[in-house]
Amino acid sequence: MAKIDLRASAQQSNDAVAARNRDLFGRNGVYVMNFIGSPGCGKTSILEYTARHLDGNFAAIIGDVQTAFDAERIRDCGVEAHAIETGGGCHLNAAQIASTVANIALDRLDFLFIENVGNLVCPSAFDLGENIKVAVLSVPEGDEKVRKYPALFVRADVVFINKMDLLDRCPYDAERVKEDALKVRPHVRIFETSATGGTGFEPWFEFLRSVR
Amino acid sequence: MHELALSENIVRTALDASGEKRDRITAIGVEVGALSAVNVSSLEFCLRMMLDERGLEGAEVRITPVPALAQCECGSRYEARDMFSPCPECGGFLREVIAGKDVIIQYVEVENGED
Repeated sequence: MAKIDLRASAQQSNDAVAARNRDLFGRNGVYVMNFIGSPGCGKTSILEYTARHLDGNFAAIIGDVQTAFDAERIRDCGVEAHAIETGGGCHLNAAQIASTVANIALDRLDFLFIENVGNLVCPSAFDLGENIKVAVLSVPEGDEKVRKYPALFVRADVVFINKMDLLDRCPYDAERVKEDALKVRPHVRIFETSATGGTGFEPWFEFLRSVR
Repeated sequence: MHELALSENIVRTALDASGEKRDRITAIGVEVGALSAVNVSSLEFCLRMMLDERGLEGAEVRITPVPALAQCECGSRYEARDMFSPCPECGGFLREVIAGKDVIIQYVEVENGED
């Protein structure tokens, strides 16, 4: 037998496209965020609130298994939004992003939001070429999500705890969630928001202004 | 759920590396990190299926689980069996994961031919 040593990442074809995306984003001076969270945690609502209340030029790419409903919601905020319907795919990959951004005038943008397919597992394994991964949690989901899905939180640069307005109606220990997130990612930034109530966004906006 | 996509990539890489001996692959070695978000038995199932589809029923799938390795700010390097436990040296959590996040194709083994 002859053994051929490879030591190659199983993600190498995706990683190569992600690196090209990252280079393209860098050259155009656009800051790119990959939002990952469960279905219904408020990813789109956070984008809507941000687009309506923060000055800047935005565009969004919205991944869903089916429908362009969320992209339409973002367009209603006056923001260019492109839907990627994965047709069953459980995550977005770098090639889907590359072909979508080919239709976006990146040079006029400050921020590009990518909303991944609602899923706490698979999207964390695929680099899209983003600057940061943003994990979105919400109060009704329960406070054990960081413990249950550490692979995402080891990689997330920002964590939202959304739907904070439901804290008095759900058994949820937000302090525990923050402690857990800081254990797996010591320098993670955590924002506690209610996207429908419009609370808690100022620190997030400050962060975005600082990276712009 | 994304194990199929990874398997396609692994098999493609193995076939490319084997060149003219691609029909004589006898084994593929893969390392799966504890924090890679990959289920080992699903990956094994998908790889088996893809190899069989290419007529490589005899090729062995060898998967080695790799633990997560953490580098603490205090200088200690340790296996992080549980990311929610502190550094065994200093008791702190200021550390970075330096191994165990990825799925790595280690090697492909092919039959020796006289060609």
